[in-house]
Amino acid sequence: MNRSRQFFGTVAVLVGVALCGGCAKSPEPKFVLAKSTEEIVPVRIGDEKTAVNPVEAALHENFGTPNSLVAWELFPLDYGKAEDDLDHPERGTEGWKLLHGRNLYMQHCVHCHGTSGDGAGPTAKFLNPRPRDYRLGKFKFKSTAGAIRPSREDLRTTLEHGIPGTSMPSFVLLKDDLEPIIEYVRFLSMRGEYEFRLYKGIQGILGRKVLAKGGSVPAEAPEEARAEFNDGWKDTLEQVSTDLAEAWTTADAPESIINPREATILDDAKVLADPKPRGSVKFSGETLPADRRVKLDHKEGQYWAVKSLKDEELGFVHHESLEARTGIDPKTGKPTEKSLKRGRELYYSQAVACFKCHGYGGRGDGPSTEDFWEVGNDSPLFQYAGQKYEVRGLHDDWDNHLEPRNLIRGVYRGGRRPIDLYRKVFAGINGAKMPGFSTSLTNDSDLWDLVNFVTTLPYDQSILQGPLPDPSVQPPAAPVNPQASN
Amino acid sequence: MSPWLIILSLGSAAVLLAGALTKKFWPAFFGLSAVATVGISVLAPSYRWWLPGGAQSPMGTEIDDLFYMILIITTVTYIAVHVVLITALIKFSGKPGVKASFSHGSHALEVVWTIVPAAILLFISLYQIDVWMRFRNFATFNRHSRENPVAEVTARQFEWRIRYPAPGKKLMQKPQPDDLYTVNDLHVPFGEPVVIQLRSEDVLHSFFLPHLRIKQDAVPGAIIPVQFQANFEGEQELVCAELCGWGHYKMRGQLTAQRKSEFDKYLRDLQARQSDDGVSGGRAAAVVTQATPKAENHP
Repeated sequence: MNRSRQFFGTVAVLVGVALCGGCAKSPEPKFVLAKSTEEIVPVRIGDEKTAVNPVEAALHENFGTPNSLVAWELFPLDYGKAEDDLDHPERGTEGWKLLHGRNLYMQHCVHCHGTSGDGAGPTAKFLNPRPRDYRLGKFKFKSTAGAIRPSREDLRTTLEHGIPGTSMPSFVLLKDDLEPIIEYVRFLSMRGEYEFRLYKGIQGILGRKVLAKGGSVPAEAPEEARAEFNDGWKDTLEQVSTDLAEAWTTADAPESIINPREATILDDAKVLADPKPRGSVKFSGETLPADRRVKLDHKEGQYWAVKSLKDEELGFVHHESLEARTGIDPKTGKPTEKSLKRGRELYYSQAVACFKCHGYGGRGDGPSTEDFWEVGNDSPLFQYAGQKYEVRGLHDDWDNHLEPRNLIRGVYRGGRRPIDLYRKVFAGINGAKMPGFSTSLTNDSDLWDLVNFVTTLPYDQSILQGPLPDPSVQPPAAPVNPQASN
Repeated sequence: MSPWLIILSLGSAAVLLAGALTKKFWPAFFGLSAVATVGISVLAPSYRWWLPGGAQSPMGTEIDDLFYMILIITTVTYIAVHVVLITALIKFSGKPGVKASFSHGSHALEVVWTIVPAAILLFISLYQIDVWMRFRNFATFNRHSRENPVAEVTARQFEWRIRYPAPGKKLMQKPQPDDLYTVNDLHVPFGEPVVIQLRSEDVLHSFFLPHLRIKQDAVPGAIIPVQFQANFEGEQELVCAELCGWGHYKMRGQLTAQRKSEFDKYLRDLQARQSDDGVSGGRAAAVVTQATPKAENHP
């Protein structure tokens, strides 16, 4: 009796342990299709007998699945050539870098950014702001101009520093492993954008009706219509892939990086002296080609006619002192009072109008946050472009609710170096509502005045005080408490 | 699984089986568990299941001494209790035909086993009080390092954000325009006591330097000074030792202890990098010319 109780007890414990261990196999990871792609009805491509979703087929052929990735030579990706490295035998296989990047991505990034880089991993719904969806090919924090893709160096900066104020942590300790992760993120972004662009291409060929479920099925369409589709599809595939390859190649070109303009061209400048060329000049942010590179003498505060090496008159340059240009007192390294004053003037001006979003007090609560905004053409909800969002306030290109930065907090998501902030003021923030002022403020010192104003705000809010420069810009009157006025 | 583990498992099973067959299952069970516990503890260091090497800070050495002292006391007690337990199980187990006797207990014995552990506990609490005070009491910290905290470390889900004062300046409680920022990468001068100000941005975290035996909870809303002295030059791990959320496992940083001159250079480089405005001869250059190293008075 006693013996059998002992026996059954032991067996029960063992069975319990086995049950706790379980024997379930985790499902195979797969790339998720975008909602728009799922809407496409199957088409017979070329001489194929069976109808397939053309976008899904193209994605599968050119990018594969997470477990069997396809390395497409067309794209500017470093897939990892096989190396003879005794210290790293795993590098012997072709495409090792992409595979290694995938493994690291699956370990460190996937729970927020998702298997297909759609920013919809399991933890994503708990996060505010939402993790980035790479599929639009848009990245907010980068050094490149406008809509140009981020350079590898930009992605590395984000990985190394994390993004303060968001849930993106720093991965600086991964060191050598960052490079493969960067390549894999680029791969996912290319794949995602390829998908969206193909959808738009197919929309162009077939029109909207045939895409909707229950519409006419091209698989059963007459022969001429199919031939027409096949031609158009072939062109689309080629166009989209070459466009993408070019876009990502441009991202790493040194010309794509925003650098402060070295001197300002003034149309009405007078020639004061005979120019003796020395040193190089950049014009309006664009670097001139080598044969048109100009030279000038470093004499401050004077106007100089600028000539190219071919002796061709290009314009006039106002060569300012460093202090006049960047608004920084060279003795203290701090912004000058004049610069802060001008920064404030621009902040509250109608032309630049920072206050409209960032608020009269710099707290990110400007009047724009009270408006209803429209869905844009580039957003994932582009089918609803032109309609208004249901929620008050700004939205970014990913359709997430967007709060203008509170400038008092001193938290800079895109980096806190003066050059980082300069780039934001110069080119805006891609994907967000922040515009660039490189064209409206042609004088570089204006941009620096704004940078100085913004970087001083967290530490000294008294610089906000004073009469407003433009009488049409007035903060709303303080709400009157009816009980108090009684 | 190593062959040794298989042999040990089979051996244990054989001991239990033999115990069960000779009606000595429980003495065999408790004897085996005691032997296994002591055996595992003796073998643990060779499997790297022990402390991560010797302590690399003076405070760590003292904490290790306390740890080993308590370990010895508990080991002796543990073995003594098991000897008594197993002896009692064998000697007083039920025998056919012998009627069990009832005892109401022994007053003298009760007094002894209450006073002896109480005395041991009192001894431990008095013995460790000095180390505990020097670890926790801000007033006992080295005066120079107390007045010049090297950095502010802010724990956040799931990273360590570090703020240094500009070279030659003091760390202020409020952020200053010229403060320097890094993430997960804490640099300190080695061979001297340093103080960091520990904060948390969201939930409870714990600042843990395992090689230095320094562990301190970061509490939201509190600024907690932590003093430590790195007796090595190089890098060691900084981890979070308080389950702080789903990403707790990856909340790791690195402590780099370097010569004072190298540390100063590190800060100056950081400052130059952080004030980069992309303008030749701009802020970064101004910073470099200003930050000439000053001779500092050391206590």
